[in-house]
Amino acid sequence: MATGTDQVVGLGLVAVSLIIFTYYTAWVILLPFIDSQHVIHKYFLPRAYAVAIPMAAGLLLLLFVGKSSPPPLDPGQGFGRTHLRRCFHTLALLEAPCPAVTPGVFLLSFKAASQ
Amino acid sequence: MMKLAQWLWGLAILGSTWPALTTGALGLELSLSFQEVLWPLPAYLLVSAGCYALGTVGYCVATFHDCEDAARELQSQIQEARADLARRGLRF
Repeated sequence: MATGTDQVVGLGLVAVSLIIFTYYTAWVILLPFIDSQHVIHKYFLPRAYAVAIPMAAGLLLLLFVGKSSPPPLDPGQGFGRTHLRRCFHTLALLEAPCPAVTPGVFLLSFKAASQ
Repeated sequence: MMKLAQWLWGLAILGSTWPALTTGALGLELSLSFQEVLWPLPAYLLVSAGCYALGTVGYCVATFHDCEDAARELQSQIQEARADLARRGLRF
């Protein structure tokens, strides 16, 4: 089993996802079948927000992933400094023209692989 | 290729039935509450897929098997290697 913070973070993620799922399911699926005078409608926003909020959150997520930049690499004494600096600059140039999701994902995977 | 074909089929079926039902192109008389459930359905599917992904990741993080002995051994080996290389003149 995982220890300490791993368990806390993992179970926290599970709890968050379950809360979001049940609230959203109640909002989208259950509420239309409940009488409009019932008190439960007080706890939910107007129906249009059920599409607007996830869409805005998804857009923000895409923009954030596309904008993520690689961490500054420390070349150290073993490698030639110019070689690694050139690799870093090439990656930055790759990222610049296409502020879309794909280069960001590629860079994130590269960052993960180089650690 | 099979999985891709399956996903594309599923998307094609959803992508044709949902607009057909919401725009009333099939000429069906749907009850008002059914229509209310129907129109946010793509957003609902996306959100539930996201929740499923988040929950699965969290569960796997929580139940991942740590190997603490191996981790400690690895750390001590790293320290040994650093000391050895530093002694031979490599600067970190």
